[in-house]
Amino acid sequence: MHRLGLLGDIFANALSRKQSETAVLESKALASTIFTSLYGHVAAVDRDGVIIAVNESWTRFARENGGDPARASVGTSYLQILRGAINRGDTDARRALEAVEAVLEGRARQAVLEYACPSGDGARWFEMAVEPFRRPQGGAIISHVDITQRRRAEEEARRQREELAHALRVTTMGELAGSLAHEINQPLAVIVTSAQAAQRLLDAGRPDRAELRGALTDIADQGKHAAQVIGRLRALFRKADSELQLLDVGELVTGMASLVRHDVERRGIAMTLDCPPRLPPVSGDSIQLQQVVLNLLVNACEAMSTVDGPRDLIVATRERAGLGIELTISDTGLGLKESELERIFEPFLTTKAAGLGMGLSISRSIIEAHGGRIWVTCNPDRGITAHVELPSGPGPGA
Amino acid sequence: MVLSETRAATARVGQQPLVCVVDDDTAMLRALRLLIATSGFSVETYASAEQFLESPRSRTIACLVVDVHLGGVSGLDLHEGLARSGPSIPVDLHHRL
Repeated sequence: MHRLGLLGDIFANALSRKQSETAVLESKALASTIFTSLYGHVAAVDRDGVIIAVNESWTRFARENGGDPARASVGTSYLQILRGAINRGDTDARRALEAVEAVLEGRARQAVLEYACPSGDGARWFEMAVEPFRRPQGGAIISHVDITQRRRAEEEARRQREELAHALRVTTMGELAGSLAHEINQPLAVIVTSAQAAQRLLDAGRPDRAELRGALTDIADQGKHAAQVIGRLRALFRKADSELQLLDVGELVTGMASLVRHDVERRGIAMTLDCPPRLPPVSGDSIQLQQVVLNLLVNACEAMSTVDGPRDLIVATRERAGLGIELTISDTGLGLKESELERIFEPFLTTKAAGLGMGLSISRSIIEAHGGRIWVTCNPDRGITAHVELPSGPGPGA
Repeated sequence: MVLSETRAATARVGQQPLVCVVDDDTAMLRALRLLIATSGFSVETYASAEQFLESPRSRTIACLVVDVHLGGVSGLDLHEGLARSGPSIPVDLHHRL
Protein backbone atom coordinates (compact mmCIF):
# COMPACT_ATOMS: atom_id res chain seq x y z
CA MET A 1 0.00 0.00 0.00
CA HIS A 2 2.85 2.30 0.96
CA ARG A 3 4.70 1.33 -2.21
CA LEU A 4 1.71 1.99 -4.24
CA GLY A 5 1.51 5.44 -2.74
CA LEU A 6 5.18 6.12 -3.58
CA LEU A 7 4.68 4.99 -7.13
CA GLY A 8 1.70 7.23 -7.36
CA ASP A 9 3.79 10.19 -6.17
CA ILE A 10 6.51 9.46 -8.70
CA PHE A 11 3.93 9.21 -11.43
CA ALA A 12 2.24 12.38 -10.34
CA ASN A 13 5.59 14.20 -10.25
CA ALA A 14 6.48 13.04 -13.72
CA LEU A 15 3.10 14.15 -14.96
CA SER A 16 3.39 17.59 -13.45
CA ARG A 17 6.92 17.97 -14.84
CA LYS A 18 5.59 17.01 -18.23
CA GLN A 19 2.84 19.60 -17.83
CA SER A 20 5.24 22.36 -16.85
CA GLU A 21 7.55 21.49 -19.76
CA THR A 22 4.60 21.80 -22.07
CA ALA A 23 3.73 25.13 -20.48
CA VAL A 24 7.28 26.38 -21.01
CA LEU A 25 7.27 25.24 -24.62
CA GLU A 26 3.92 26.86 -25.19
CA SER A 27 5.01 30.10 -23.63
CA LYS A 28 8.21 30.06 -25.75
CA ALA A 29 6.14 29.45 -28.85
CA LEU A 30 3.81 32.28 -27.88
CA ALA A 31 6.70 34.68 -27.25
CA SER A 32 8.30 33.70 -30.53
CA THR A 33 5.05 34.18 -32.43
CA ILE A 34 4.56 37.59 -30.90
CA PHE A 35 8.17 38.53 -31.64
CA THR A 36 7.82 37.45 -35.27
CA SER A 37 4.50 39.10 -35.84
CA LEU A 38 5.50 42.48 -34.39
CA TYR A 39 4.91 45.29 -36.83
CA GLY A 40 8.04 47.12 -35.68
CA HIS A 41 11.59 46.09 -36.48
CA VAL A 42 12.74 44.37 -33.32
CA ALA A 43 16.11 43.02 -32.18
CA ALA A 44 17.23 41.60 -28.86
CA VAL A 45 20.81 42.28 -27.83
CA ASP A 46 22.89 40.87 -24.99
CA ARG A 47 24.54 42.96 -22.31
CA ASP A 48 27.45 43.75 -24.67
CA GLY A 49 25.12 44.95 -27.39
CA VAL A 50 25.57 41.88 -29.61
CA ILE A 51 22.37 40.97 -31.47
CA ILE A 52 20.97 37.65 -30.26
CA ALA A 53 17.62 37.64 -32.05
CA VAL A 54 15.83 39.68 -34.71
CA ASN A 55 12.31 39.42 -36.06
CA GLU A 56 11.36 39.08 -39.71
CA SER A 57 10.44 42.70 -39.95
CA TRP A 58 13.97 43.68 -38.85
CA THR A 59 15.59 41.50 -41.54
CA ARG A 60 13.22 42.82 -44.20
CA PHE A 61 13.90 46.40 -43.15
CA ALA A 62 17.66 45.88 -43.38
CA ARG A 63 17.24 44.44 -46.87
CA GLU A 64 14.84 47.12 -48.11
CA ASN A 65 17.14 49.89 -46.98
CA GLY A 66 19.89 48.55 -49.18
CA GLY A 67 21.84 47.29 -46.24
CA ASP A 68 23.34 43.87 -45.97
CA PRO A 69 20.98 41.93 -43.69
CA ALA A 70 23.93 39.87 -42.49
CA ARG A 71 25.59 42.98 -41.12
CA ALA A 72 22.67 43.73 -38.83
CA SER A 73 21.79 40.20 -37.86
CA VAL A 74 22.43 37.77 -35.06
CA GLY A 75 26.03 37.72 -33.91
CA THR A 76 26.97 41.31 -34.88
CA SER A 77 27.37 44.08 -32.35
CA TYR A 78 24.63 46.68 -32.62
CA LEU A 79 26.88 49.12 -30.81
CA GLN A 80 29.52 48.66 -33.54
CA ILE A 81 26.92 49.27 -36.25
CA LEU A 82 25.94 52.53 -34.56
CA ARG A 83 29.57 53.58 -34.07
CA GLY A 84 30.18 52.98 -37.77
CA ALA A 85 27.22 55.25 -38.60
CA ILE A 86 28.52 57.93 -36.22
CA ASN A 87 31.89 57.84 -38.00
CA ARG A 88 30.05 58.47 -41.25
CA GLY A 89 28.63 61.63 -39.67
CA ASP A 90 25.17 60.37 -38.66
CA THR A 91 24.16 62.48 -35.66
CA ASP A 92 21.00 60.45 -35.01
CA ALA A 93 23.22 57.39 -34.57
CA ARG A 94 24.98 59.16 -31.72
CA ARG A 95 21.68 59.67 -29.91
CA ALA A 96 20.76 56.04 -30.61
CA LEU A 97 24.07 54.81 -29.21
CA GLU A 98 23.61 56.87 -26.07
CA ALA A 99 20.10 55.44 -25.65
CA VAL A 100 21.20 51.82 -26.05
CA GLU A 101 24.19 52.23 -23.73
CA ALA A 102 22.08 53.95 -21.09
CA VAL A 103 19.65 51.04 -20.99
CA LEU A 104 22.37 48.33 -21.13
CA GLU A 105 24.23 49.96 -18.25
CA GLY A 106 21.06 50.32 -16.24
CA ARG A 107 21.18 54.12 -16.27
CA ALA A 108 17.79 54.39 -17.95
CA ARG A 109 14.66 52.29 -17.53
CA GLN A 110 13.66 53.05 -21.08
CA ALA A 111 14.86 55.26 -23.91
CA VAL A 112 12.80 56.55 -26.82
CA LEU A 113 13.94 58.77 -29.66
CA GLU A 114 12.68 59.84 -33.05
CA TYR A 115 14.90 60.11 -36.09
CA ALA A 116 14.65 60.79 -39.79
CA CYS A 117 15.84 58.32 -42.36
CA PRO A 118 16.28 59.53 -45.93
CA SER A 119 14.66 57.23 -48.43
CA GLY A 120 13.44 57.27 -52.04
CA ASP A 121 10.14 59.10 -51.43
CA GLY A 122 11.24 61.81 -49.01
CA ALA A 123 12.35 61.38 -45.44
CA ARG A 124 10.81 58.62 -43.41
CA TRP A 125 10.56 58.95 -39.66
CA PHE A 126 11.16 56.25 -37.10
CA GLU A 127 10.71 55.95 -33.41
CA MET A 128 13.39 53.89 -31.71
CA ALA A 129 12.60 52.42 -28.33
CA VAL A 130 15.10 50.64 -26.10
CA GLU A 131 13.86 48.58 -23.18
CA PRO A 132 15.85 46.41 -20.78
CA PHE A 133 15.76 42.66 -21.53
CA ARG A 134 14.27 41.48 -18.24
CA ARG A 135 16.38 38.38 -17.58
CA PRO A 136 19.34 37.68 -15.30
CA GLN A 137 21.91 37.96 -18.11
CA GLY A 138 20.75 41.47 -18.99
CA GLY A 139 20.60 42.93 -22.47
CA ALA A 140 18.05 45.07 -24.25
CA ILE A 141 15.16 44.92 -26.70
CA ILE A 142 15.49 47.49 -29.46
CA SER A 143 12.58 48.33 -31.73
CA HIS A 144 12.22 50.72 -34.64
CA VAL A 145 8.68 51.68 -35.64
CA ASP A 146 7.85 53.65 -38.78
CA ILE A 147 6.02 56.78 -37.62
CA THR A 148 6.19 58.62 -40.95
CA GLN A 149 2.41 58.82 -41.30
CA ARG A 150 2.01 60.23 -37.82
CA ARG A 151 4.76 62.78 -38.46
CA ARG A 152 3.21 63.75 -41.79
CA ALA A 153 -0.18 64.19 -40.15
CA GLU A 154 1.40 66.34 -37.44
CA GLU A 155 3.23 68.32 -40.08
CA GLU A 156 0.01 68.82 -42.04
CA ALA A 157 -1.86 69.94 -38.92
CA ARG A 158 0.93 72.39 -38.12
CA ARG A 159 0.92 73.73 -41.68
CA GLN A 160 -2.85 74.24 -41.61
CA ARG A 161 -2.63 75.99 -38.26
CA GLU A 162 -0.02 78.35 -39.69
CA GLU A 163 -2.14 79.04 -42.78
CA LEU A 164 -5.12 79.86 -40.59
CA ALA A 165 -2.99 81.97 -38.26
CA HIS A 166 -1.71 83.90 -41.24
CA ALA A 167 -5.22 84.47 -42.61
CA LEU A 168 -6.32 85.74 -39.20
CA ARG A 169 -3.30 88.01 -38.92
CA VAL A 170 -4.11 89.59 -42.25
CA THR A 171 -7.76 90.02 -41.18
CA THR A 172 -6.75 91.65 -37.90
CA MET A 173 -4.37 93.97 -39.72
CA GLY A 174 -7.18 94.91 -42.06
CA GLU A 175 -9.35 95.85 -39.09
CA LEU A 176 -6.48 97.93 -37.74
CA ALA A 177 -5.72 99.60 -41.07
CA GLY A 178 -6.65 103.08 -39.76
CA SER A 179 -4.46 102.78 -36.71
CA LEU A 180 -1.58 101.33 -38.68
CA ALA A 181 -1.74 104.07 -41.33
CA HIS A 182 -1.66 106.62 -38.53
CA GLU A 183 1.42 104.99 -37.04
CA ILE A 184 3.22 105.52 -40.34
CA ASN A 185 1.65 108.88 -41.15
CA GLN A 186 2.53 110.41 -37.81
CA PRO A 187 6.32 110.20 -38.22
CA LEU A 188 5.96 111.30 -41.86
CA ALA A 189 4.06 114.40 -40.75
CA VAL A 190 6.81 115.20 -38.25
CA ILE A 191 9.45 114.71 -40.96
CA VAL A 192 7.69 117.04 -43.39
CA THR A 193 7.05 119.69 -40.74
CA SER A 194 10.62 119.54 -39.41
CA ALA A 195 12.03 119.71 -42.93
CA GLN A 196 9.89 122.76 -43.75
CA ALA A 197 11.01 124.41 -40.52
CA ALA A 198 14.65 123.65 -41.38
CA GLN A 199 14.18 125.21 -44.82
CA ARG A 200 12.84 128.37 -43.24
CA LEU A 201 15.76 128.46 -40.84
CA LEU A 202 18.12 128.28 -43.81
CA ASP A 203 16.16 130.82 -45.82
CA ALA A 204 16.37 133.25 -42.90
CA GLY A 205 20.15 133.21 -43.24
CA ARG A 206 22.65 132.50 -40.44
CA PRO A 207 20.54 129.67 -39.06
CA ASP A 208 20.87 128.64 -35.44
CA ARG A 209 22.95 125.48 -35.71
CA ALA A 210 21.40 123.87 -32.61
CA GLU A 211 17.88 124.39 -33.96
CA LEU A 212 18.87 123.04 -37.34
CA ARG A 213 20.53 120.05 -35.78
CA GLY A 214 17.46 119.42 -33.60
CA ALA A 215 15.21 119.41 -36.67
CA LEU A 216 17.52 117.05 -38.57
CA THR A 217 17.76 114.72 -35.57
CA ASP A 218 13.97 114.56 -35.40
CA ILE A 219 13.80 113.86 -39.13
CA ALA A 220 16.27 110.98 -38.82
CA ASP A 221 14.63 109.56 -35.68
CA GLN A 222 11.14 109.72 -37.11
CA GLY A 223 12.32 108.17 -40.36
CA LYS A 224 13.75 105.26 -38.40
CA HIS A 225 10.57 105.00 -36.39
CA ALA A 226 8.42 104.79 -39.54
CA ALA A 227 10.75 102.16 -40.96
CA GLN A 228 10.40 100.14 -37.74
CA VAL A 229 6.62 100.25 -37.95
CA ILE A 230 6.71 99.13 -41.57
CA GLY A 231 9.16 96.37 -40.66
CA ARG A 232 6.77 95.12 -37.98
CA LEU A 233 3.84 95.18 -40.39
CA ARG A 234 5.76 93.36 -43.08
CA ALA A 235 6.72 90.66 -40.59
CA LEU A 236 3.09 90.21 -39.59
CA PHE A 237 1.89 90.04 -43.20
CA ARG A 238 4.56 87.55 -44.15
CA LYS A 239 3.73 83.89 -44.30
CA ALA A 240 6.83 82.52 -42.70
CA ASP A 241 7.73 79.14 -41.32
CA SER A 242 7.81 78.95 -37.59
CA GLU A 243 11.19 80.09 -36.31
CA LEU A 244 12.37 79.88 -32.72
CA GLN A 245 14.43 82.56 -31.07
CA LEU A 246 14.93 84.01 -27.61
CA LEU A 247 12.50 86.89 -27.17
CA ASP A 248 11.95 89.70 -24.73
CA VAL A 249 8.19 89.50 -24.10
CA GLY A 250 8.02 93.06 -22.74
CA GLU A 251 9.62 94.43 -25.92
CA LEU A 252 7.31 92.37 -28.10
CA VAL A 253 4.25 93.59 -26.19
CA THR A 254 5.39 97.22 -26.35
CA GLY A 255 5.84 96.92 -30.11
CA MET A 256 2.32 95.57 -30.62
CA ALA A 257 0.86 98.18 -28.27
CA SER A 258 2.37 100.88 -30.47
CA LEU A 259 0.57 99.44 -33.50
CA VAL A 260 -2.85 99.70 -31.85
CA ARG A 261 -2.14 102.97 -30.01
CA HIS A 262 -4.11 105.14 -32.37
CA ASP A 263 -7.07 102.76 -32.31
CA VAL A 264 -6.91 102.78 -28.52
CA GLU A 265 -6.96 106.57 -28.37
CA ARG A 266 -9.72 106.86 -30.94
CA ARG A 267 -11.95 104.73 -28.72
CA GLY A 268 -11.18 106.90 -25.70
CA ILE A 269 -9.28 104.11 -23.98
CA ALA A 270 -6.46 104.84 -21.54
CA MET A 271 -3.70 102.29 -22.09
CA THR A 272 -1.15 101.63 -19.37
CA LEU A 273 1.94 99.59 -20.14
CA ASP A 274 3.77 97.98 -17.26
CA CYS A 275 6.55 96.00 -18.93
CA PRO A 276 9.75 96.12 -16.91
CA PRO A 277 12.91 95.71 -19.01
CA ARG A 278 15.27 92.75 -18.82
CA LEU A 279 12.86 90.00 -17.80
CA PRO A 280 14.21 86.53 -18.62
CA PRO A 281 13.72 85.79 -22.33
CA VAL A 282 11.31 83.16 -23.62
CA SER A 283 11.97 80.88 -26.53
CA GLY A 284 9.38 81.34 -29.24
CA ASP A 285 8.26 82.37 -32.68
CA SER A 286 8.06 86.14 -32.60
CA ILE A 287 5.39 86.49 -35.30
CA GLN A 288 3.12 83.93 -33.67
CA LEU A 289 3.48 85.50 -30.25
CA GLN A 290 2.97 89.00 -31.67
CA GLN A 291 -0.22 87.71 -33.24
CA VAL A 292 -1.50 86.47 -29.88
CA VAL A 293 -0.71 89.80 -28.20
CA LEU A 294 -2.30 91.78 -31.05
CA ASN A 295 -5.39 89.61 -30.88
CA LEU A 296 -5.76 90.07 -27.13
CA LEU A 297 -5.26 93.84 -27.43
CA VAL A 298 -7.86 94.13 -30.19
CA ASN A 299 -10.33 91.99 -28.20
CA ALA A 300 -9.85 94.16 -25.12
CA CYS A 301 -10.41 97.36 -27.13
CA GLU A 302 -13.52 95.98 -28.80
CA ALA A 303 -14.95 94.86 -25.46
CA MET A 304 -14.68 98.46 -24.21
CA SER A 305 -15.85 100.30 -27.32
CA THR A 306 -19.51 100.37 -26.23
CA VAL A 307 -19.27 100.66 -22.45
CA ASP A 308 -19.90 103.83 -20.46
CA GLY A 309 -17.54 104.78 -17.70
CA PRO A 310 -13.78 104.38 -17.57
CA ARG A 311 -12.11 102.53 -20.39
CA ASP A 312 -8.85 101.25 -18.99
CA LEU A 313 -6.51 98.87 -20.74
CA ILE A 314 -3.71 97.63 -18.50
CA VAL A 315 -0.97 95.57 -20.08
CA ALA A 316 1.63 94.08 -17.77
CA THR A 317 4.44 91.55 -17.96
CA ARG A 318 6.10 90.05 -14.93
CA GLU A 319 8.32 87.18 -13.94
CA ARG A 320 6.72 84.29 -12.12
CA ALA A 321 9.32 82.32 -10.23
CA GLY A 322 9.61 78.81 -11.58
CA LEU A 323 6.88 79.37 -14.17
CA GLY A 324 8.40 81.89 -16.55
CA ILE A 325 6.79 85.09 -17.78
CA GLU A 326 3.18 86.07 -17.31
CA LEU A 327 1.50 88.64 -19.53
CA THR A 328 -1.81 90.08 -18.39
CA ILE A 329 -4.11 92.25 -20.45
CA SER A 330 -7.05 93.61 -18.50
CA ASP A 331 -9.92 95.69 -19.72
CA THR A 332 -12.95 97.38 -18.21
CA GLY A 333 -15.20 96.15 -20.98
CA LEU A 334 -18.42 94.20 -21.22
CA GLY A 335 -16.97 91.24 -19.35
CA LEU A 336 -18.01 87.60 -19.49
CA LYS A 337 -20.07 85.19 -17.42
CA GLU A 338 -18.07 82.61 -15.47
CA SER A 339 -19.51 79.93 -17.74
CA GLU A 340 -18.15 81.70 -20.83
CA LEU A 341 -14.54 81.99 -19.64
CA GLU A 342 -13.50 78.65 -21.05
CA ARG A 343 -15.92 78.51 -23.98
CA ILE A 344 -14.48 81.58 -25.69
CA PHE A 345 -11.45 79.48 -26.60
CA GLU A 346 -13.62 77.16 -28.68
CA PRO A 347 -13.38 77.75 -32.43
CA PHE A 348 -16.14 79.69 -34.15
CA LEU A 349 -17.46 81.03 -30.86
CA THR A 350 -17.63 84.80 -30.91
CA THR A 351 -19.41 87.51 -29.00
CA LYS A 352 -18.54 90.04 -31.66
CA ALA A 353 -20.75 91.11 -34.53
CA ALA A 354 -17.86 90.81 -36.96
CA GLY A 355 -15.23 88.16 -36.60
CA LEU A 356 -14.76 84.48 -37.17
CA GLY A 357 -14.37 83.50 -33.55
CA MET A 358 -11.03 81.88 -34.36
CA GLY A 359 -8.70 84.38 -32.72
CA LEU A 360 -8.64 82.93 -29.23
CA SER A 361 -8.71 79.38 -30.47
CA ILE A 362 -5.62 80.03 -32.60
CA SER A 363 -4.03 81.98 -29.77
CA ARG A 364 -4.44 79.02 -27.46
CA SER A 365 -2.95 76.58 -29.95
CA ILE A 366 0.01 78.95 -30.46
CA ILE A 367 0.61 79.38 -26.73
CA GLU A 368 0.28 75.67 -26.03
CA ALA A 369 2.75 74.90 -28.83
CA HIS A 370 5.14 77.18 -26.91
CA GLY A 371 4.65 75.09 -23.78
CA GLY A 372 2.60 77.86 -22.15
CA ARG A 373 -0.95 78.49 -20.97
CA ILE A 374 -3.59 81.06 -21.84
CA TRP A 375 -6.74 81.71 -19.87
CA VAL A 376 -9.19 84.42 -18.95
CA THR A 377 -10.50 85.57 -15.55
CA CYS A 378 -13.25 87.99 -14.53
CA ASN A 379 -12.09 91.20 -12.87
CA PRO A 380 -13.57 91.92 -9.43
CA ASP A 381 -15.18 95.18 -10.60
CA ARG A 382 -15.66 95.05 -14.35
CA GLY A 383 -14.19 93.56 -17.48
CA ILE A 384 -11.89 90.61 -17.85
CA THR A 385 -8.18 89.85 -17.72
CA ALA A 386 -6.46 87.63 -20.26
CA HIS A 387 -3.43 85.78 -18.90
CA VAL A 388 -0.62 84.27 -20.94
CA GLU A 389 2.06 82.25 -19.23
CA LEU A 390 5.21 81.32 -21.17
CA PRO A 391 8.14 79.29 -19.87
CA SER A 392 11.35 81.30 -19.86
CA GLY A 393 14.56 80.02 -21.38
CA PRO A 394 14.84 77.51 -24.20
CA GLY A 395 11.42 75.85 -24.25
CA PRO A 396 9.90 72.92 -26.12
CA GLY A 397 9.34 75.21 -29.08
CA ALA A 398 6.52 75.93 -31.46
CA MET B 1 4.19 121.55 -19.19
CA VAL B 2 4.97 124.42 -21.52
CA LEU B 3 7.92 123.34 -23.57
CA SER B 4 10.62 125.97 -23.70
CA GLU B 5 10.28 128.28 -26.60
CA THR B 6 12.77 127.99 -29.39
CA ARG B 7 15.76 130.28 -29.33
CA ALA B 8 14.73 131.92 -32.55
CA ALA B 9 11.29 132.54 -31.12
CA THR B 10 12.70 133.79 -27.85
CA ALA B 11 14.96 136.20 -29.68
CA ARG B 12 12.08 137.68 -31.57
CA VAL B 13 9.44 137.53 -28.85
CA GLY B 14 8.36 141.18 -28.63
CA GLN B 15 4.92 141.87 -30.06
CA GLN B 16 4.66 138.86 -32.33
CA PRO B 17 1.24 137.23 -32.34
CA LEU B 18 1.03 134.19 -30.05
CA VAL B 19 0.23 130.78 -31.48
CA CYS B 20 -0.56 127.95 -29.04
CA VAL B 21 -0.11 124.33 -30.12
CA VAL B 22 -1.73 121.34 -28.40
CA ASP B 23 -0.51 117.93 -29.51
CA ASP B 24 0.28 114.78 -27.52
CA ASP B 25 3.15 113.77 -29.80
CA THR B 26 6.29 115.44 -28.48
CA ALA B 27 8.19 115.16 -31.78
CA MET B 28 5.26 116.76 -33.61
CA LEU B 29 5.08 119.45 -30.98
CA ARG B 30 8.77 120.28 -31.47
CA ALA B 31 8.41 120.33 -35.26
CA LEU B 32 5.34 122.62 -35.17
CA ARG B 33 6.97 124.92 -32.65
CA LEU B 34 10.01 125.37 -34.85
CA LEU B 35 7.96 125.78 -38.02
CA ILE B 36 5.66 128.36 -36.46
CA ALA B 37 8.52 130.19 -34.74
CA THR B 38 10.48 130.41 -37.99
CA SER B 39 7.35 131.86 -39.60
CA GLY B 40 7.48 134.84 -37.29
CA PHE B 41 5.17 133.99 -34.38
CA SER B 42 5.57 133.44 -30.68
CA VAL B 43 4.77 129.85 -29.77
CA GLU B 44 3.56 128.05 -26.68
CA THR B 45 3.17 124.30 -26.78
CA TYR B 46 1.06 121.96 -24.64
CA ALA B 47 1.02 118.17 -24.51
CA SER B 48 -2.72 117.97 -23.70
CA ALA B 49 -5.93 119.97 -23.75
CA GLU B 50 -5.96 119.83 -19.95
CA GLN B 51 -2.51 121.42 -19.73
CA PHE B 52 -3.60 124.14 -22.09
CA LEU B 53 -6.77 124.85 -20.11
CA GLU B 54 -4.95 124.87 -16.76
CA SER B 55 -2.15 127.20 -17.78
CA PRO B 56 -2.57 130.91 -17.03
CA ARG B 57 -3.15 133.21 -20.02
CA SER B 58 -0.63 136.01 -20.05
CA ARG B 59 -1.42 137.21 -23.54
CA THR B 60 -4.10 137.08 -26.15
CA ILE B 61 -3.86 134.00 -28.28
CA ALA B 62 -3.83 134.77 -31.98
CA CYS B 63 -4.30 131.19 -33.07
CA LEU B 64 -4.66 127.77 -31.46
CA VAL B 65 -3.43 124.68 -33.31
CA VAL B 66 -4.92 121.48 -31.91
CA ASP B 67 -4.51 117.84 -32.80
CA VAL B 68 -7.99 116.32 -33.22
CA HIS B 69 -6.89 113.04 -31.66
CA LEU B 70 -5.86 113.86 -28.15
CA GLY B 71 -6.21 111.44 -25.28
CA GLY B 72 -8.52 112.69 -22.47
CA VAL B 73 -10.18 115.93 -23.62
CA SER B 74 -10.12 115.62 -27.42
CA GLY B 75 -9.30 118.40 -29.84
CA LEU B 76 -12.96 118.65 -30.79
CA ASP B 77 -14.04 118.85 -27.14
CA LEU B 78 -11.54 121.63 -26.60
CA HIS B 79 -12.76 123.49 -29.65
CA GLU B 80 -16.40 123.26 -28.57
CA GLY B 81 -15.53 124.27 -25.01
CA LEU B 82 -13.62 127.32 -26.18
CA ALA B 83 -16.34 128.30 -28.65
CA ARG B 84 -18.89 128.25 -25.82
CA SER B 85 -16.68 130.10 -23.32
CA GLY B 86 -16.47 133.43 -25.03
CA PRO B 87 -14.00 135.37 -27.14
CA SER B 88 -13.27 133.45 -30.28
CA ILE B 89 -9.80 132.27 -31.02
CA PRO B 90 -9.09 131.03 -34.52
CA VAL B 91 -8.59 127.30 -34.11
CA ASP B 92 -6.87 125.01 -36.54
CA LEU B 93 -7.94 121.47 -35.82
CA HIS B 94 -5.36 119.41 -37.58
CA HIS B 95 -6.07 115.86 -38.39
CA ARG B 96 -3.40 113.51 -39.59
CA LEU B 97 -5.44 110.59 -40.75
